[in-house]
Amino acid sequence: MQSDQSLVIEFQQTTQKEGPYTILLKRHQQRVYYQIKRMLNNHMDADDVAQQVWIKVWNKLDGFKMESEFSTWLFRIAYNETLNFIQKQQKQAGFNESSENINFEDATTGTDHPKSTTIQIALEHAIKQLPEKQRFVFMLRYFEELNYEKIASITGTSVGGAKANFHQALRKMEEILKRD
Amino acid sequence: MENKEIDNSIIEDRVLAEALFTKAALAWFDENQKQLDPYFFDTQSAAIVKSLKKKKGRIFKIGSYGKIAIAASFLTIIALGYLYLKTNKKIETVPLIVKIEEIPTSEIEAYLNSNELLAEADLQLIIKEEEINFSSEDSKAANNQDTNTILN
Repeated sequence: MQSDQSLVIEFQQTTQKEGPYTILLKRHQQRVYYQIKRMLNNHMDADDVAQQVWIKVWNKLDGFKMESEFSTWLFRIAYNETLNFIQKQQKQAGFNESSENINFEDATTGTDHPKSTTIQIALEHAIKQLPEKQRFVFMLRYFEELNYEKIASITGTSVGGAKANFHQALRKMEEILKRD
Repeated sequence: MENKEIDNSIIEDRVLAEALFTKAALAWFDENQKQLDPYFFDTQSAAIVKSLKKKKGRIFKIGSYGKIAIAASFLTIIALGYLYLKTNKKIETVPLIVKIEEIPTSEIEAYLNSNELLAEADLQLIIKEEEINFSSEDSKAANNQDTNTILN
């Protein structure tokens, strides 16, 4: 199997870019979509943002200098696009509080799932109330199991900052649980 | 697929989160995000590639040879324009030499007749100017004579 790096080089050196691009797309599209979906909790929005991410990848991949792994670079684009989307939504909705506008699909009405437990509802509620950066870091750490070096590179912070974001997210969710 | 680096710190962090919400609840949250049409990712990748093809069609990419050709045609247009203006100027500046013998007498007479009055007025003007010149020269000569006598 061709590595991401060799596919990027192939993309940058050939005029037939569609081949290596499609392999990269199929290889990473699920992880990108799931990360965005965890952030937005809405399928249509997550699909739109994911498509924007891949269009950006096509446009910017020629300039990618491979100073980080392709997947780190890809998640950085996903992070920026997701935050841009949330900010646009906030502007459109005219809300000041970031947590208010994210239209989380109702956990209790999931079609293929049995009725959600109290802790599941509390979890969704707590995640919804996290600031975007903390939420993104929490998802990357817990669900994608990324190390703090990568998370720092994706979110444009230091390793210490990324660690702090994860632990602040936990603390905040704990407070929300106790409060509610 | 990229290998995930699961070190101890990741496990510790996961344990902290699971202590708060339970592993089952976190797994449920993740599963909930993954409830999709089984063909969703095929449809999505096809849609992305299709939108890129549309964009590619609209963008006219110019290669290095193309750029040289465009620059050359611009230079040619500028050079041709310059030459055109230069040759036109030359034509304008060439003096029209017509020999008086070649002009028919009737044409000269007709010209003189039609411009007789003007010619007369011109002549009068010339005479007047000459008179002024003569008079000023006379006064100058008189002045010179006076100064000479004084000096002598």
